[in-house]
Amino acid sequence: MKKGRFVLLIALLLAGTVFLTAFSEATTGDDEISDVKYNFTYISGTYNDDYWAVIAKGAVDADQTFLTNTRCIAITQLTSETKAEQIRKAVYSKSDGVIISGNGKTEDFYQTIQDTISADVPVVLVDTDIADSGRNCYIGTDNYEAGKMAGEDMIAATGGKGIIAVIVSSNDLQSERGRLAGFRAAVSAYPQMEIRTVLEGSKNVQESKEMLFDALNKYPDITGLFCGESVSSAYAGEALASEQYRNIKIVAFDLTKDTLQFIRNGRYYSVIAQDPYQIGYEAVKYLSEYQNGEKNLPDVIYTKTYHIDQNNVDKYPLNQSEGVVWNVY
Amino acid sequence: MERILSNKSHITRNKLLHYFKTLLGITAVLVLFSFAMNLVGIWQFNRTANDISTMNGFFEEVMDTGQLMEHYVQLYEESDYENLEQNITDLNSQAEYFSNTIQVGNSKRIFRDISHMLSAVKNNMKSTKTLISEKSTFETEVVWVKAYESQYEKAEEGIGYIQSEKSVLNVQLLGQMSVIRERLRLNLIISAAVTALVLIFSGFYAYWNAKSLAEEITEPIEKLTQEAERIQTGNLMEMKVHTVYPTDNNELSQLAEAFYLMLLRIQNQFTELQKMDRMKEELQQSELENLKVNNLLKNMELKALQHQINPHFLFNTLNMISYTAYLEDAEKTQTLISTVAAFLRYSLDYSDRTALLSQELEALENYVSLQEQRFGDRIKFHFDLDCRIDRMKIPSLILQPLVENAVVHGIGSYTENGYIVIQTVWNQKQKTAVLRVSDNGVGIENDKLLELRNKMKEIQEKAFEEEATRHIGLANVYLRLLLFTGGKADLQIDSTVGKNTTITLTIPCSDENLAESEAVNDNNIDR
Repeated sequence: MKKGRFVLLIALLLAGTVFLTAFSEATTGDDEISDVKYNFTYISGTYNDDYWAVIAKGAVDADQTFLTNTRCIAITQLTSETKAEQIRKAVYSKSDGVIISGNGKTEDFYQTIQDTISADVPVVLVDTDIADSGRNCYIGTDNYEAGKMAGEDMIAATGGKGIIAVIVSSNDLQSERGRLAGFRAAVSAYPQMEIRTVLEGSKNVQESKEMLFDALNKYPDITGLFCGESVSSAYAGEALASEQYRNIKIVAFDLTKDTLQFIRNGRYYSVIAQDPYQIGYEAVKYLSEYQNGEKNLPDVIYTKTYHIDQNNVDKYPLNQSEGVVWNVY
Repeated sequence: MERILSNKSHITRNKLLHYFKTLLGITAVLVLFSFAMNLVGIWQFNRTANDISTMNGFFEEVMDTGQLMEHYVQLYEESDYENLEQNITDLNSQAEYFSNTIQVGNSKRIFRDISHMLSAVKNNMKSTKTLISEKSTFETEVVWVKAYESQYEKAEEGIGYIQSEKSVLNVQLLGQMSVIRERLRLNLIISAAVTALVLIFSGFYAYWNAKSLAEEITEPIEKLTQEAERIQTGNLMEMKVHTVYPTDNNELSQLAEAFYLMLLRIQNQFTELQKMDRMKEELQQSELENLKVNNLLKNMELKALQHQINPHFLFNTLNMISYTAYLEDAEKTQTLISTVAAFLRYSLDYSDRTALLSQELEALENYVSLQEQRFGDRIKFHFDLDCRIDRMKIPSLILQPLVENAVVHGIGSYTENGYIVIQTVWNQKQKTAVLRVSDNGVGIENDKLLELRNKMKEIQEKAFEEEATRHIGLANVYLRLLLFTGGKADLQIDSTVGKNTTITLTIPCSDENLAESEAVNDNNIDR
């Protein structure tokens, strides 16, 4: 008799657990904040890139702290125009603040930022700054310092002498230019080191690769490569894995699954990691404080950069970006 | 036994029932939960689908509003504006409602944004209307048109922004639907897996139960069958009780118990029977011994008598003498001795038996001829016989004593003219045989006759109480006759003193008796 009841109880528990799991999953939605103080808009280029997604994650996490709501928008057709449109839409829907990368060169984009500010909607630029756009704040990596850190790593990797190639983003961007400047500054102290070529990396992986190999063919004596942007950082470890390029020391940028893998297998000497999570978090924090009417807020907030190599790779787990609800346009 | 049965019965049945209840319970719970899970999933799925259609209606209305706006700026009709305003108000309340009811992704935020954008559109259209109505204040129409169109374009832009949210919301709702669908699928898999698991489990459970139950049932049955076979073929008494005994208290154990109880009873009865048999045997043995002793005693008695005088020896001797006499030509002696031998033979052979009347008479003739030799002319014997009763059956030696009495007591003292008549008559009417011996002797004195008659009467009364052997002579004859006929014979004594004496024996004798006696005679012919 007791055995039968026991079996029945187990069956009930099992079924109940399954049922409750299904039920609780069904009611899962956004982590709603019941009393939202401010509504911000984060406009990202893409949502499946670790870097931008982690910024979003930082912002969404900050929402919980500052009782705000940040809408994360991803644009499939990423141009200055579409970005500007999203900014205008944010203003139109009475957003309390816009977080966007200053990765746009057009007049329209400049104008939109200025219009936004004049509509009393604060703009925080992340990752890339446009200092003269009138933005309220830049939050991101000190690219000059990051470039300098990379340069020092390159010096350490090559022993202070060698022919270096540098890949920077195709855009004539302040951030990449800062990195390059920092890198140059570090390397210039070593007369035996020469930056032979500076390549403008493409967003297209295939194009970028072709360009790289062209350069390597053209300058076969290259012994160091600094990938100053994310695209080449993601593929260089694999593209230059063969014995032919084994002597080329690589310093890459941003901590991603790919770069982490190449650090682990020893192909990359080091990776200069930014802190996208902190960028997102700081952006929401800034906007929240701004809307609270706090005075004397800084117009530039540099987040930390990290030097990651085989020795300390395990101390820096990848930032997770799960739990962010994206609105894709 | 009855008590045990009432306590233990239905245990196997209860086990079976309990097993089925458990299985049924598990299955019911599974089915219910699986049903509930799917119901919830389907409900959610339907709700989301419903949300999508409601939202599509909402966005259609947004589109209508956009067209109304366009219509209005083309024709400036007041009614259009009023409808427009009404529409936007309506949409706004709908958005408000959706922000609370639809909860997918960041739908609440999106509806919040839509709501604000609707308000902005409304404001822009209000400005447009104001500018349109202030046409007169503008210098040229172109300036006027440009002025209100800039406001209208903002509103149009807003409508565009709102429209763009449709796809985002749809993506989220469809995403939700696919999540639900996935969950339903998962539910299905989980419930299938759980069901399979439970089925497997219950299969094992059933197998285990059935096996143990079957073993519980069949094992004792097999053993009982073996035991039964052993009883059939082997020695019942050597069977040990409770060599098979199910440990569980169920029907089978009761059966086994009943079986052994039966065995025990049979064994007890068997033992009892054996004991009785033995006792009977002993009893028979003792009876047999008793009988033997009796026989022995009788034989010994006989032997003792025989030892006194061996009649056969005597008879043989007489025969031998008779033969010698013949050899010596002593014809008369030979006849005498032969007669004596014949009589002796008859008295020896039939002394304790019945004989035919003819045999009796034959013996009597031998005796008479001896007496004739002895007494010569002193006594004459006369036979008056009724040959119809020759084959009648009578106790032997009943006439001889009468004749002897007549010779000794009646005529013994006569020197001449002694006359003895031996008469047999069959009274066909009365179915009686009358045997009569008369003499013309001295007769019996009245006192003596009375005494004799009293004695005879006494004998007749007490015939079956006393032993015949205790009497001799007349009394003996009468007694034997009484015993032979079952008390129906009669002995009559008639005597006149100095004149005659007649002894009459009346014996019942029917026709059948005669016939019967014939058959008996055949068997005894050579004795």
